[in-house]
Amino acid sequence: MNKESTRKFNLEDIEAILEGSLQQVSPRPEFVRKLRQRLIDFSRPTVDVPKINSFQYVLLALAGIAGGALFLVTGTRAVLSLLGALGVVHYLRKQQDEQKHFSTSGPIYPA
Amino acid sequence: MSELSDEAALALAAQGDKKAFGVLYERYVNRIYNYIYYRTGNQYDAEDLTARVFFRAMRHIENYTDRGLPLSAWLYRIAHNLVANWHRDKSRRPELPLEEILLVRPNGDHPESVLLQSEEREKLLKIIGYLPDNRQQLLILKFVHHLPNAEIGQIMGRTEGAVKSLYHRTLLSLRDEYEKLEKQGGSNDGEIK
Repeated sequence: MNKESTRKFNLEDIEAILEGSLQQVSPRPEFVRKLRQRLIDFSRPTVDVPKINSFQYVLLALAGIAGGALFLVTGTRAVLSLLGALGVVHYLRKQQDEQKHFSTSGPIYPA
Repeated sequence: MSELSDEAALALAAQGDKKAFGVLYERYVNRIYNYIYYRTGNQYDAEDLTARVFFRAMRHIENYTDRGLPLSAWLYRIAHNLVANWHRDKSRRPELPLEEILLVRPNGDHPESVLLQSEEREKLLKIIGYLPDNRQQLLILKFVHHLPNAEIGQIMGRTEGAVKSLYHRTLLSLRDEYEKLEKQGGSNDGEIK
């Protein structure tokens, strides 16, 4: 065991070593300068919303109403068509069932 | 412009005055860089994270409300969070690469004199690398930035008494680990609590 390994340290020794070890470092001047420039040049992303005049507002509203009405009419027609189609299918099935019933029941009056 | 107080520069910067922000930047860039450098241990990450700190500060400077805390506390808090994320991303314990820390000296020591740096310093830096985050932060603020306990408390969100207590415990654990390392002959792989 060497002499150093048996050495005892007090807190002042540790503080002295820390004082000597943790020293200020300087960032590269080029880095500092470039970062400053980037910060100065940096601008927050903004969204430019164009101003809309009243005529455009009215036009936009009319277009909205017309679009909504068209959507409603189309939707209603679609629903009615669907219901109608379902009704036709139901009617055809009913007819088919009736035809089957008459063809399998045989003659009413025996020969 | 450079004679502006922090508060005045902050108020102007919050209104979008970039020159005022530039003044604050000049004032704090070295401190923030040093803090990050000693927490990450390398120049490249220190530069990258320092840049992020100031960009984040600039984006949120409008929201910074003066709660009696110095601006430095806010900047250190941003730096601390970014360093914590950096360590999380790296998924490893913070380590201080001694070679770089010893080789990069502000006063530009000659390489030969760097080689003659005391063995004690190297060992201690190695131990510091294994300290928990808050203790590393305390040592950097105290020894690199020479801040008083009251300001360290503001930055770390602790009372002055709590800082003193943490500092004392840190010194004790450093001393114990240091002596242990000396007995073992220089290897320490464990985490210090």
